[in-house]
Amino acid sequence: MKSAKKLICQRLKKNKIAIVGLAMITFLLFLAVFAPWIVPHDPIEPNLGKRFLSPCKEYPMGTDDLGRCVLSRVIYGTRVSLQVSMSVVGIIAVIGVTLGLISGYFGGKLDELIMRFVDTVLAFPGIILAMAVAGALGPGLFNVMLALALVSWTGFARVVRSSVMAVKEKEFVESARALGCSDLYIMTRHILPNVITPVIVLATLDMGFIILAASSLSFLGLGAQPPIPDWGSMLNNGRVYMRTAPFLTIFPGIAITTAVMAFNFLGDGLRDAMDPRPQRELKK
Amino acid sequence: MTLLSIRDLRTYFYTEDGVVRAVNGIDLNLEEGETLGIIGETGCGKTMLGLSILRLLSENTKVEGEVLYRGTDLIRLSKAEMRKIRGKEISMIFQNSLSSMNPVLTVGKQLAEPLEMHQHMKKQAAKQKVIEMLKAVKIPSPSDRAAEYPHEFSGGMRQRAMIAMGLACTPSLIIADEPTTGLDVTIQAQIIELIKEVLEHSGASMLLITHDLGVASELCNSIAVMYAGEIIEYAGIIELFKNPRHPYTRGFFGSLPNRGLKPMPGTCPSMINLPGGCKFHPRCPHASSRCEKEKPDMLKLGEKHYVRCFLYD
Amino acid sequence: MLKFILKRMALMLIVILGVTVLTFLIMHFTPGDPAEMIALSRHGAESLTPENIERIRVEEGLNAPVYIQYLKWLQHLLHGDLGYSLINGEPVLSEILNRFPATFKLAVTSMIVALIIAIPLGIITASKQYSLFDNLSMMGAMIGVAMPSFWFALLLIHLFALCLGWFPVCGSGSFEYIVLPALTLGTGISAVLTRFIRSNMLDVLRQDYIRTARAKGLTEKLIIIKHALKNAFIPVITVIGIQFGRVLEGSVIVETIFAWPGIGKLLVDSIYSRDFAMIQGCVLFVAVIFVLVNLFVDVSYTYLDPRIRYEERR
Ligand SMILES: Nc1ncnc2c1ncn2[C@@H]1O[C@H](COP(=O)(O)OP(=O)(O)O)[C@@H](O)[C@H]1O
Ligand code: SF4
Ligand SMILES: [Mg+2]
Repeated sequence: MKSAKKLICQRLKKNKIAIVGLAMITFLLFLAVFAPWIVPHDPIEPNLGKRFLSPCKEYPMGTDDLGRCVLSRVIYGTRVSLQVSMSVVGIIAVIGVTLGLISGYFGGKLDELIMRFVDTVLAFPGIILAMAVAGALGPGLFNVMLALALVSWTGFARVVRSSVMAVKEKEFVESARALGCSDLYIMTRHILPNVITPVIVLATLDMGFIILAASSLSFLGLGAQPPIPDWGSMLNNGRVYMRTAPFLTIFPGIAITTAVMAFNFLGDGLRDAMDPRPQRELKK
Repeated sequence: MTLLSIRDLRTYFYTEDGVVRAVNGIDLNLEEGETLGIIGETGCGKTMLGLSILRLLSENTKVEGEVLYRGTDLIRLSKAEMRKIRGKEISMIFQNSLSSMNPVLTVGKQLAEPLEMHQHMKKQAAKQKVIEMLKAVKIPSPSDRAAEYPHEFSGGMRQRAMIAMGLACTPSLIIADEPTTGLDVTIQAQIIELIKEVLEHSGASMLLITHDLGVASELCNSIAVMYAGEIIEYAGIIELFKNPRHPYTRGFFGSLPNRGLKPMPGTCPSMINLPGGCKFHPRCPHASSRCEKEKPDMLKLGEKHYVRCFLYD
Repeated sequence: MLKFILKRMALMLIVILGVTVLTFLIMHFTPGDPAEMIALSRHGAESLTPENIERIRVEEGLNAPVYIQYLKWLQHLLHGDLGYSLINGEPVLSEILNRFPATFKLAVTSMIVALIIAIPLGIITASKQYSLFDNLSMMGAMIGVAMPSFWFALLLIHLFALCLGWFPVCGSGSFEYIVLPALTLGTGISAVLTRFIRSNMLDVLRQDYIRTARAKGLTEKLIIIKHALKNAFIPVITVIGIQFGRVLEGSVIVETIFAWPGIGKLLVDSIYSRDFAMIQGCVLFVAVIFVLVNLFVDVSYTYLDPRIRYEERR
């Protein structure tokens, strides 16, 4: 186990794209945490005297229809975006891992039931279901998070289930059972640590997906409400002025793409590093 | 006449974990009509040797040395010229016939390809020829079987089809990589018979790669024993069986089930961190301090008997 | 083969039943009083008296237990009755069927765009792995996967509609109208597909039978066309099925941006106007279509792969 982790770390270090992803994520986290000290202007207070300024020295990304600094709003948007995606990924990881554990460990009827439930949720194109739920609950960031959580836990359940089925038959589980350990104890102490790696990969990749999905819902006006500086709603707001002030749509879009890419880079890198194939070909 | 002459052949793989030296300076001659066996434990580089001759290795490999086929060096041929050799002059029969045949093409189509490629046969003519070929390797109801997919064949039948495919353009040299491994004993015997027959019939030479001494003794005129990417002993078949000289060869003969089970201690070294000196010294019962430091040269023991070991220096 | 299809269909029916339950429950637990909404939609604001609302509640069976309500709703559903719009009183199903052709047209066009981009790109990048072209394409695909479709749509509108004036900003009608929406959706999907086709091709090119083909002296071109493509594309079929779900998802946003009169726009408009019956209908319809597409994909997969075909025959 130890050496496997070391190997993964070594490989990850060699994977340039994963390192770039990690660096980008660190940068985004830095922006999110220190936003209040970094931003050049107030992201929320309107300044009607300075509406639609093109990018200039004072406002590097220009100002919006209410004269607010786009750069400051984009930086605060990092905070909103990461908060939303981290909470959602946290929730779905807990739900998915729990259901996957139960399903894989106990098998039988319970497994059948949970898997049919997974199939049912997967039968919907995710965003559409999320949209319906968010629409039914009414607009707002919290509802968007709830909706996204409801539709995107299935990946975790499936991944964990199949990993559990693989470890379940291993000797250390058998011997723990022979020693009379309770199911709960075996699941949390023996099985969970062994399924954690695929969960981390999936969580990283899902971060990108959730950022994208949440911004889509916000773009449709279902998510963050004004004046919250959210990338999706900034784009929605800016699109009306696309002809005269294209910078209102360009910069938040770059922010979303960058953030999603960061998590995808790291996620892909992690997945490759955990690939069990011992030797991978290098180019000459 | 010498058909194939290999000079100081070296094959390296570049991997994340280091350079894999799978073939480490091999010299070999193969005469017209001869069947030469390459034997050795799994992982000693036999398959890589075969693939290097036909230059069938992936991009991350480097092949050095000379492979002279009727005087032309295959290593230096252009890709297009090399393609004209493959399947026409030299063909290869692979080990795992299931994975070595395309699962989504019928056996007939796959057998017709060398004909269409090298003899420019039209589809219909090639189809006729394929049926004849299948008949020649004793596959019953050949015209029906030609329309089937590889997974519908039994292992033995599939290996017969592979052999037919290798013979399609009547090559002068056939490289057979473990042609009987994984088959039942009775089927194995049938395939050996078949190979004997086709070699006699066509007069082709064969490089037979195997880890099975029994198979080698049935088919080969001479044998080269391979260890960690090197040839460590070479002799005629009778001489080698009567007089194995290299400690590895002796151990290898000793580990044969029909001579009483006496498995050789240790395993084949990793091809990344090869031991210095004689590569066999960590496992050799006769190793001296010289063996750890110096690499033994190939010594001539008799007319056709060579060995790479200080014991005979 | 037939047995396999029947089994898949049985499973599909279970899933569709699950889909109806889930859709029903979501709408059922929506905040707000459905009786009040119905009253409002049928008789206007002045009808919102407690007696009126109570009467509708009883009439519509809204005071019955949940499962009774569900069964009743399901019964209607089986008769093709998806209810009536809370906004204009039109039957939900006919409204959806009216909109479906537009979405279908957009989805198919986008898929074609995606395949036209992804197939050659995936094949070329795989056969020239690590080349400059490969690296650039993969970088592009990475960006394509990460880019939100609505942003890409806005960029396209900015460039091709506003600056160059080649295509209309939005709307529907002649051919020009579909170009930008289909390009938006198609490009996004092509990014995923290119990566998938490439990695599949790379996998296939590493297989033993490709080495056999090389040993026969075939040219690289023939090897790719005759030996690699079919093997690499059998799994691609499945992914195309999954991507079809992406098209449906993407169509919601793209239709909204380009004012394309399909189901996606209908769904978003219904969400804005809180027309729950319509939302329910749209979601259900899309899910059923998605399930059917996946069934079709599964079946064609079995047909295409002789190994599975063989096992099923036994
Ligand atoms: N693609 C590859 N990359 C790196 N090493 C390889 C590759 N293929 C084979 N090897 C190594 O080359 C050595 C020789 O393998 P091989 O020739 O297949 O042995 P065998 O004698 O059993 O046919 C082995 O140690 C194997 O690990
Ligand atoms: S050279 Fe030395 S180590 Fe090598 S085989 Fe001979 S005796 Fe053994
Ligand atoms: Mg081998």
